[in-house]
Amino acid sequence: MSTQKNMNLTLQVWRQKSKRDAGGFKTYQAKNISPDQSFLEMLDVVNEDLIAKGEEPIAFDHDCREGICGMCSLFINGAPHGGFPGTTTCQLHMRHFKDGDEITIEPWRAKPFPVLKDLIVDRTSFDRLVQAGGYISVNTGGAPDANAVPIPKKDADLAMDAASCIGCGACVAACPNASAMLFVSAKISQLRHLPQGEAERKKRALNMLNRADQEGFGSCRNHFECEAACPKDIPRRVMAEAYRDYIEASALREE
Amino acid sequence: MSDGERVVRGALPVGRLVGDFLGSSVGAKVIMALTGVVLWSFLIGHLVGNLQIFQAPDAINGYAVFLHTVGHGAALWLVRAALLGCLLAHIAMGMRLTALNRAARPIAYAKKKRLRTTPAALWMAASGVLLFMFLAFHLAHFTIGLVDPSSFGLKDAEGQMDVYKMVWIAFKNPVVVVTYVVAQFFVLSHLMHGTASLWQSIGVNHGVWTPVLSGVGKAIALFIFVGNLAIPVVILIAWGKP
Repeated sequence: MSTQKNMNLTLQVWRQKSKRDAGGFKTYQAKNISPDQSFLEMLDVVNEDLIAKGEEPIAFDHDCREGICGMCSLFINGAPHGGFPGTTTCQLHMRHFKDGDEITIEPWRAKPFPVLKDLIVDRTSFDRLVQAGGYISVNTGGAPDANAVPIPKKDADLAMDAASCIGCGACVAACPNASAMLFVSAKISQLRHLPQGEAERKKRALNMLNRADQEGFGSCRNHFECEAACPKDIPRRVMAEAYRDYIEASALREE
Repeated sequence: MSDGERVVRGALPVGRLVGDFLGSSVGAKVIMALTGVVLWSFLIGHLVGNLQIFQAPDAINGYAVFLHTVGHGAALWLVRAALLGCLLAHIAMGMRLTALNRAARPIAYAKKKRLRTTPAALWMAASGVLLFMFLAFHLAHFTIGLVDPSSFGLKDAEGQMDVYKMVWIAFKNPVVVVTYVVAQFFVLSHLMHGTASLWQSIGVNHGVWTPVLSGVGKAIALFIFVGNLAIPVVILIAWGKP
C-alpha cells in the first residue's frame, strides 16, 4: 500500500455527445482519489458521482484493465496513456499525480479516428489496415505440429518485439502527423521475420502501407514520438523494415 | 488478376510503377531523403570551394573560372540543372506531405507534450521555407547580381571575374552579414534533422551503424554551419580592404 494520502484533482475532460456534436471541455472534481487506484478507476469514481447527480457519465473505452487488450486510450496531459514508459492508461496509477493537480483528458485526435462519444474514438480503420495484409494465407485443416518449422531464437525474438503491439493507437495519437506507421510496421515486422510470413512479405508491405495512405493517416517524418508513446515499447526498427519491404516491392512488382 | 492467369512480363507500364511509388507517402519520403542527400552534398562542395576566399584572390577567382569553363562550360549547367531538379522534387514532396499531414489531424490537441522529437524536426517545413527564401536572395546576390550590381561583374588584374572582391565588398555590409548569419541557423536546423533521419527513410536501421551515420551527418552539418558562418563574419571583422 502506498503511504501517499488520498487526493483531490481537477479534471478537464473532453465531452462530445455524438460524432456530429462539436464537443468541448468540461471541468470536474475528482475527490478523495486513492494513489493505489488506476486512472480508469479514478474515472469510475467520477462517473459514480455524476450518475448519483443524474448527469451523463463520461464515456471512455476500456476492457481488460491489465494492459493487454488495447482498448483503453485517453490523451492525458498532452501524451497518450499519460506518457509514462511502457504504460497503458488502465495500468497508470494515481500515485503519479499530486493532490490539487489539474489533468487534461482528450480523445485520440486523427482523421481516421473519429470521436464517437466523449473520449471514445472509432478505431476500425486499424481493422481495415490488418485486412489489407496483416495476416498469412494458410489452408484450413489439421493444426500443424508445434515446432514443425524451426525458427531461430533471434528471429522469433524480432517477431515477438513487434507482435507485442496491442493496437491501441497511441502511436497515431502521439504522432505530430497522425501517422499509423508504427502500427502498420509492427504487423509487417511481426510476420516478415517468420517463414510463414515470408511468402506474402512484399505484397503485405505494399497493400498495408497503401491502405494507410487511403485511410487518411499522415506520413512519417521520423519524429519517433510513436516509439516514445508506445505502451509496448515497439522499436523504430520495425518502420525501417516496412519501408525496405515497400521499396523492394514497389521496384520489383509486376502486377 | 484472375486465378491461374500468368503474370505477363512488362504488362505494367513503367509510368504507373513510378507514379504509384511517387504518389505513396513512403515513396515521397524516399525521394525527400535521396534529393536531400544530393542537396546536402552540394552544400559540402559549395563550402569547401568557398573557403578559398581565405587564400589569395587568385585562388577563388581561378576556381570560378574553372567552374565556368570545365567541360566547355557544359558541366556547370548540367550540375545546376540536376540541383534544380532535386530542389524542386524535394520541395514538391515536402509540400505534399505537409498538406497530407495537416489534413490527418483536423482537430488539434488542447495540450500536447513533446516526447522524443526535436524542435529541429518539428520545424522542418518552416526552416525549409526560410531556406528557400534565403536561397532566392543568395542567388540574386552572387549568381545573378541583382542585389548589388555595382560589385558584380568586376574583373581582376588578369581579366578574370573578381569573385574575391565581390564577396569582400558584400560582407563589409553588416546588414548583409546578419542575413547570411541568420540563414545559417536555418541550414543547421534543417540539416540536423535531415541528415540524421534520412537513413530511416530509406529503410536503414541498424544497432551499430545508425548511430554512427547519424553522428557523422550531424558533425558534417556542424562543419557546414561553422564554415558558412566564418566567411561573412571573418570578412566583416577583418582589417583592411580587399
